[in-house]
Order: sequence, then C-alpha cells, then structure tokens
Amino acid sequence: MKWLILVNFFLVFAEILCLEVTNGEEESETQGRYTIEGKVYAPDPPFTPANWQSDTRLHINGGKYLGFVKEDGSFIIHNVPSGSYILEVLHPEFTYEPIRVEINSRGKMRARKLNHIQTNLVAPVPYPVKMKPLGKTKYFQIREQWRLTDFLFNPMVLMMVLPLVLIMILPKMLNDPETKKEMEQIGSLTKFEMPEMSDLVTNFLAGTSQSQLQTKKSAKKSSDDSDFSALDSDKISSTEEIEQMHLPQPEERNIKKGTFILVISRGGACGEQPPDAFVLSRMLKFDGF
Amino acid sequence: MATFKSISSIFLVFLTFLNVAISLYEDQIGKFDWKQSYIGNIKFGSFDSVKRVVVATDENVIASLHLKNGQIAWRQILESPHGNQIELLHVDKEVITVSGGESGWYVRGWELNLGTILWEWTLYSDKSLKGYWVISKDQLIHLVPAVGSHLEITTYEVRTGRNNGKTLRISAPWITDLSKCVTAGIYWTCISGESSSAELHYIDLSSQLDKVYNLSVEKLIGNAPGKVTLRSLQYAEPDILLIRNGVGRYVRLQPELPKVFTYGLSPNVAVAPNGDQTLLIQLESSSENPENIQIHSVELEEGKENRIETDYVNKTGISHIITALCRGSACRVLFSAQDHSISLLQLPAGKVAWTREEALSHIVATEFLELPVSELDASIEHEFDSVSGDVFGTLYHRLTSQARQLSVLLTGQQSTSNTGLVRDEFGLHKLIIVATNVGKLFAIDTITGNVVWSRFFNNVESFSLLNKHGMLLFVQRTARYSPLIPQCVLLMKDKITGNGIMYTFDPITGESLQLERLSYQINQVMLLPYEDDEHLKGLLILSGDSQVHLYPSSSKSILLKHASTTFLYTANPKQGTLHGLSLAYSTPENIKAVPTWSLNLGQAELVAVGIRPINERVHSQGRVLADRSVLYKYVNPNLLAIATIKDDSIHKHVLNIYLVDGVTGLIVYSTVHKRADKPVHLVHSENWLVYSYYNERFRRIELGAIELYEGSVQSNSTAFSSHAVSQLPHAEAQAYIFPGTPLAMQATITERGITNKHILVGLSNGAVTEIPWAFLEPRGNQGILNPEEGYIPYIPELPLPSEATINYNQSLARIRGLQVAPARLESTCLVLVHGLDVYYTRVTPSKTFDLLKEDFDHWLIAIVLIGLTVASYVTKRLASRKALKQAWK
Repeated sequence: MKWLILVNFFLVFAEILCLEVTNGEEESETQGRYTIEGKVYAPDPPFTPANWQSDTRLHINGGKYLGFVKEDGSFIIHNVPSGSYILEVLHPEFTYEPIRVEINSRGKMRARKLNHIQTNLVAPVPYPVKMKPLGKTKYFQIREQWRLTDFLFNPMVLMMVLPLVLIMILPKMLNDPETKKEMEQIGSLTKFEMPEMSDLVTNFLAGTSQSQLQTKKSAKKSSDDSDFSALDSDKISSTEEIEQMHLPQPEERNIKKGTFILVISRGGACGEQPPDAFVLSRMLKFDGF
Repeated sequence: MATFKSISSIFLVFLTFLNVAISLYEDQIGKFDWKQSYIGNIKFGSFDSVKRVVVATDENVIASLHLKNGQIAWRQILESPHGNQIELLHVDKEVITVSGGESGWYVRGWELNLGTILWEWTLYSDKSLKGYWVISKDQLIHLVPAVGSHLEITTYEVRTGRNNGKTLRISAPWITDLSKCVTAGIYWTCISGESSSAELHYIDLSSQLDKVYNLSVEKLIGNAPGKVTLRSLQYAEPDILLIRNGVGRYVRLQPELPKVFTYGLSPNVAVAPNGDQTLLIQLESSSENPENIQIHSVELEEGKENRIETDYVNKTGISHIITALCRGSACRVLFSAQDHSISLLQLPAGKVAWTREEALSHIVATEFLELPVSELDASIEHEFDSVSGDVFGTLYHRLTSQARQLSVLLTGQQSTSNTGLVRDEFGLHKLIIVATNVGKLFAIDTITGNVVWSRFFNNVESFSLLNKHGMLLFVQRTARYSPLIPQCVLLMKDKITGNGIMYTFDPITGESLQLERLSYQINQVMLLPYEDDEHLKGLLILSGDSQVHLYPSSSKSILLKHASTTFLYTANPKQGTLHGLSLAYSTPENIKAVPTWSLNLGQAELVAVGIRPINERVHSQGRVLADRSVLYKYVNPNLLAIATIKDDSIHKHVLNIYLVDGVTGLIVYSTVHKRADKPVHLVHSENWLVYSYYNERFRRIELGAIELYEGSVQSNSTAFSSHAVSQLPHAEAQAYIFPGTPLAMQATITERGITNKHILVGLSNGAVTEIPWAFLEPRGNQGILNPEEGYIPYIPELPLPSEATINYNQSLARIRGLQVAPARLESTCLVLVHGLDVYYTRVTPSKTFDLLKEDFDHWLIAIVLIGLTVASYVTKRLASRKALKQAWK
C-alpha cells in the first residue's frame, strides 16, 4: 500500500514536472499555436439537411476555440496552444461523438476517444479527425398512437367483451339441435342430483305436517339408538331445527325475486312484462339445470 | 427478502430512469415556448443585395438580415466578445471579416447566401497596438501606427494569408492621436495639430507608395475657429467627412489635391450609392419632437436636395446611420438608435419597415410578475373588502357589488380583453420584466413573447457583480392587492458619476412612478420582507459609506419594529472578505447597520455566491430512511453559499466552498477541491447545494453536491434560529462527472415545493438540460448499506440524455442566465433562458400530475359513453322483444 502511495505520489510529481516543462516551452515559443484539422461528415444522403455546413460548429473546451465547417465538410481550428482538449461537433439535429485531441509541446497531434472516467485509457482515433454522426438527435417522446389492437387487448375491454360474447353466443349455440340435446343431457344429469327448486318448495309448503311427524319418529329412534343418530348426521335431527328450516318462507320468496332480477339484468326484459307466473316457472327451470 | 428488496430497488431505478426520459412530444413544439434570436449592437453593416443586409456586432457576431422583415437569414457566432471584436466587415462577392484581439486575429471569408465558411487564416500582432484593416482588391492591408514615430504596413493575400514577408515602415511623426485617424477607402488619413494649424495627412495604401500627402485643413474647408474632427464614411470610395462645429464637409481624397464639396452636412450622414449617382442621406430628429425624424437627402454631384418627414415611434433618439442603399428613387436606410435598436427606413415613402430590439441580446436582470385579476374577479374580491360588521351595511355592500359585477359582466369585459393582460387560472400567463445592459427596460408577455412596453434610460450602466453585469430589480408590491397598483423598483448605476439611480414603476402599464438619482453609490440592497399598510415592501439601500437609506421613508417604523432580527451581508470580491451587518442598534432618528461579523477568505478570489430563492418553500421536513426513521433536513434560510478560487503553487488552483450563516457568520460547512478551477456555478436550494467546477487533473467538468441534515431529531420544528446552534448539521457530499460545459445553472421552483426539484443547466452547446436532483443527491454510506425506496446507485458520469433537453433543437447561443418562477399550478415551473437568444418555456419536473394529460382523448371517451348509452337502449328494446316472443312460445 505504501508503495502504491509512493508511486502515486511520484506520478503526480512527474505530471507536475511535465506541466511545468510545457509551460516553460510555451513561454519561450511565442508562436506556440497549432491548428487542429479534420472533417465532419454529413448524415447519410436521404437525411442530409440542405445547408448543414452553416449550422454546424466545432467547439473546443466548450467554445474557447471555434471551428466552422467548409462546404466539403473539412474544418481547421486555428490558434490552439498545446494541451489536451475536448472537440465537440454541434448541430441542432444530429449527434456527434466528442473526442479528445491532444497537442504536445512540440506540436504533435493525437486524437483519442473521450473517456471521462478512465482518463488514462488511450483508445487512439486517426488524426486528422473524422467526425461521423451517430444519428439524429432524439429530443421528443413519441406520442402513443391509437391502435385497434391496443384497444382490444385493454383489460377493461376484455372484461366487457368476454361476458358479452358468452351471453350473445351461448344462447345461439343452444339453438343448434345437437348441442341442445347435449345440454339437455347435462341438464338431466343435474336433475338427478338436485331436485327441482319448485318441487322442493311445493313439497315444503304442502307437506310440513308429514315431514314433521316423520322427523318426530326419527327423533324417538335416535333417543333409542344414539349411535345411529350420530351416523345420520345429514338427516335433520330435531323438530326445532326443521321448524327453523321452514320458518323463513319470505326469505325463499326473496331468493326467487333475486333470481328474477338476475334474469332482468341478463335479458334486459322490463318493458312488456309477461304474466308473473310464467317467468317464475321458466326461471326456476332454468335454475334447475 | 433481500433479493426481493434488491429487485424492487432495481425496478425503482428503472422507473426513475424512465421518468427522466419523459420529455416533450413533437406536437408540443412552440405550444408553450418561444425563442427570440438577437445579434447585439451593430458595429458595421453593408447591403449585399436588395434583399439582405450583412451586419457585424459588438457581440462578435456576423449575421445576414432579410430586408423585408428584419429576420435573421443566417448568423455566425465568433469567439467570445471579451477580448475579441470584429474590426472589419467587407461585403463583396463574399463576406470578409477580421476579428480577434488578444489572442491574434482571425481573417475569415463567408459565403454570402448561406453563411458557410469559405476560408480562414490567422495572424498575430502586438496586442497593445491598435491596428487598422483595409481591403483593396484581393489584398488585406494591416496597418499598425505607432504614435509619434512610424507606421507599419503589411499586405496579405486575403484568401490565403500569404504575404511577401516584408513589412513597410513609414516614418510618420505626425501621428498624435489615434482617435483622429480613420480609414477611407484605400486611404488612411489623420489630422494633426489644433484648430487653425491643423493638417490633414493621408496615404494611398493600394499603390504601396510610401508617399504621404500633407495638406492644411484651412486650405480645404477654410479658416474658422473650432476643432476639426474626422469621420470615416465606411464606403468604398476614399471619402471622409471633416466636421467643425457640428457641420460636416464632404471631402473626396485624391492624390495631390482632394475634392471638397460645398454642402454643409450633419455629422450623421450616410452615403448611398445609386448607380452613377451618390446620394447623401442625413437623419435629423429634434429634441423637442423626438417622434418625428427628418430625412434630408442630397445628391452629391448635382446638389439636389430632398426632405421627407416621417414618424418614428422610438423616442430614444437616433444614434447613427449604419448603411444605406439606393436603387433609382427607392432607398433603404439602416440606422441604429441609442437603445441599440435597429430599424430599416424605406424611402421615398419614409416608412420604418421594421425595428429589432437588440438591447435584449444582453439581459442583466429579470423578474416574473403575476398579472392582475380581471375586472369581474376584482369586483368579486371587493365584495369582501368591507370590514364593518353591520348586517344592513354588508347587505347593501353586497347588493351594490353584485350590481357592479353585473354591469362589468355586460359592459366591461371588452376593456380587459383588449389588453389581454389578465391573470389566468393556472398562473401561466405572466409578465416578464427585463432590464438590459444598455439601460432599456422591457415587459414581455410570456404567452406571445411580445414586448408590452419598454422604457429607455440614457447614460446608465449595470453594476458588475462577480465579473457579471447586473442590475437590481425588485417587486415591491404584487398585483394581488387590486385597487393598489403593483410596483417594481429598478436600481442602476449612473454612467458618469457612478451613483445609483432608482426607478419606481408600475410593471403592468409601464407607467413611471418616480425616477430618483441618488447622491451616493450603492453597496448592497435589500427588499425588506415586511409589508406596510399599503402592502408595499420597503427597500433598504446600503450606500458605499455604510449609510442606510430607506425607500419609501414610511417603511421606517416597520423596519424599527423588526430591527433586531434584520441582518445584511456584503461581499467584497477583490479583498475576499464578507461582512455581516445588523440593524439592531438602530434608533428612530438614525437607522444604522453595525458590523457584527466579518470573514476573511484569505488571498482568494470570490467567484460565486449563492442564496436560496426567497419565495422558495420546503414542503417535506425530512427524508424517510429505509428503517422508516426520518432524517430531518437542515433548512437554514440565512445560509450563504460561497465559492473561492485560490492560486496554489502545488495544486495550481484550489476551490473552496463555504456555507456561511448570514446572521452569525458561522461557517456551517466547508470543503476544498484541489486542482479545481473556474468556471464555478452555484445552485443553493432547500438544504442542498450543487456546484460545478473544472477538474484540472482529469480535465473534465465535475458537479459537486452537498446536502445538510439536522439528524434524527429536529431541534425546532416551528421556527428556525441561527443563534440556537446546538451542533453543526451533518453533511453528505458527493461529486459527479458532468459531460458538458455549464454556462448557467438554476434549480426549478414550484408554488408549494411538493414537486421534485430539477436542476436546469445551460450548456455551451446551446442546450438547456434538466437533471433531477435525485440523481445528484448524495446518499453517503447509509444509502449504500441500507438502500431506501427509490435509491439510485452512484453513477460517476451523469447521463445527459438528449430527451432531457428542454429547448429541443432550438439551440441557444451564449447562455448567460436562467430565471425560474413558479406557476400557480404546483407541477409547473416557468423558465426564461437569456443570453444572445431569449427562450421561454415551462418545465414540469414531476410531470403534469395536476392536469389532465394533453393527449387525453375527450372525443373517444365521449363517443364511447354515447355509444354505450345508445347500445343499452337498443339492446333493451331488442331483449324485451325477444323475451316477449319467447314467453309466448
């Protein structure tokens, strides 16, 4: 580490010495001014602006020395003392890469790539310098254009369109006799598992007393054989519970109403209302499968 | 978890980068920005054809102007005008300029139509001697006179710079005063001796004969008392004007005996070649009636005179005719006025075709001013003016004011819309008050960029503030207090005495309120932060002899109330000292500023001073760290940021940055950069400082950023006191490489300080770029070890994407300053960039979060809404029909 510091110090010292030497030579040589030469290339033909030469300028160290571009693209920057400089090409529409040009105390030129971070890294560039445009300078953001695909793949649109498709196309598919059959089959399957809601309701409404009796019997049974009652857990065990089940009649009507509302929202039928019972029965059928 | 955190931080970084990339849209060009290009005060001018005029200015710029409208056809900006000036402009088939000074001379040839360079060469001459340049055929003659002894003449081939190596020396003991020597065509001529014994000497430079013609002036224009002066007519023929007692005689130089024309001419005469004829054009304006100018033309050979009168709006008086050209009876005269404006006069119609306000090429002070509310709004505001609590009184007041509003609504609306100077909802329409170096004051409308009013002051100049020119402009009363007119004050320097001049005016109408020539020099000026009963802020001026003066004097009582908490500072850049002054010892009879502290910066040059903008608000009190604790900002409103450069034997130059408390003189923070040199630019805002300097070791520009924090505990959350210092703030600092050359820097400012801060940097390549403060924010070790949300890892070289250029391809030449002002819209900050060009735009550092997006598709939304409504009705009808059908099935 010590060595490193020492070396570092030595380097700095050497650099100072060098600088002093150059300063001395500058003083001794009154005409120690040099010219930097090169050529600026215009952007490729289709993009070449009509009068790019007069809009292009060359700056050395941020405008301390200036260069102007001749008609053939060549430039000469006069009156530059020895030193290390950054050469920039300025054009409002095109970007050029800046380079570093170094003139030593004897007037020898060297051009290298500009590297601000690793200043000691030398990546030579031919001299006289050739400045080529990197491309058109992008100043603007591109405004998003309205495209149909963008619109269609918008999640909001998807959310709206898919249900619409389901509603519109599924009933159409039902018109097809084969699918109708299939659907009916599926419907019959479901019928097996779940009895129709209307039947259930009518059963409940009509046969309350019967079932109550049955359940009372079973309750008696259960008191006899407690093991069985535990096994028949899905069966209703006590009359109180059954009564609870049957009491909320209005609630069930509510449910029907709810489904009815659902139908309206799906079908949108509210203008001319057919007889109430019709809708109810149809609806319940619909619920069935 | 850790990986998730790092991923999230990377994502945030990505987001912030994206954020930076957000810039203008192409269709926003010119929507809220405008640019005006200027060239400077014209030194030389020459018509190249009937369509254009080529001019050279004191800003070291050559340009070609369209005669039709005065717009710039092309413009070439030469070296910095400090030490480089154009000395010769010759327009023929090509434009030839000789410019330069200290570091040698540049001889350049330009293409006439496009302004591209044709050839260029340089030459060196002794800096101390004034030289003369003459073009004769293809020869450039450089003439260096040595007073009292000899004349050196060197001839160069104009396109290549080749010379025969010989320098002709002519003995010329008659050169006594170079102000009495001029070039005339191919002659160089001088006057020696006083009035009666005056002699005219001239040399024909084209023939290379070292023959000097001597003639007594008496022989030419007769004997009369009075001093004789010479004027060159800047014309191809070897003609001069001999002026005695304000009357000029036209003399054509010839070998042996010059030809003298007998007309008495005014000194302000221009020669207009018109085919074979030569026309002399004079412009005269009487002091009583400056709006009227008389054009007096004389035909040289025949002596036919012609007088035309015309109106000229500019009241400042004509300075001189630059050039004139005639074709038949039609003439074009280009002339400049005292205020550096140039105009083109068309003859024989006698009409001023256009005027260019070249004073705006050097702005020294700017201020944004809010416009007054419209009459209707003002009448609504008046409704709440009454303070009486009486029920009937308020009812009466209300009824009358509403009646007035109605009448204003019906009738008065036209009067306000005529002027158009009415505050808008978002505060984007403002007035920019601009003071220029020549002493002309302008008010510019931000929307259109037009000059609303202007006023010119003779014999004033700007103060020199740290190697920059500057005038002091303050808003004493804004337009908010409607029946009271707004008031601004401008402080200038008298050119002759060096004393201060104070001009008070109404910024909206330009009406002058008071012009006071002060009897002392100005050392420091402060706008008092206290308003009097009429909402007027007082102005405190510290004169050169440390006396305190108050304007208006009625603000004295208010100042005395706050005297114990009012402090001043003065900086002396030459001695490198800073002084703090207190007004605490003032008595009602004698207001005095007593020095309380002084700071000696050593043998260093003070290069920059930065203070926080007075109207800045700091919205967030601290920074939330990753562990959810808060690091409180050290927000000291009295903090001064100072940069000094010191010559050093080992490190060449050393840059020192100090943060000094202006009340106590305490150095809160200081730092040193070895081998760092000018230019230094400082931006001080909130609790941070950004400065730029040139790193001599690595030959690059670097930006330094310092941020001050109080720590995890806030000492006093309600009020800040410079005296209550328990411990110094904790500072974090970081430096970055800046791949550009800054010419001016400024931080954006918004109404409430909620919006992010961006730093606007005017670059030497003509771009004004914005860098988010988040990129520069020094996070220190804590940030690296425990990154918080939105943490941007340290990048040594700052990116300067072209999308961040706020002025897109409108490159701005020689940027001198940036001025920012908040709009009433929190997201928006108004920016004025001035230099040779003037550019106005607005920036939104956090994007327009409080506005609907510009590309918000009103049409699409409206169509979709209407479409949905219609569709729902249609489907309803269809569905019901279908339902009915199915129901009957």
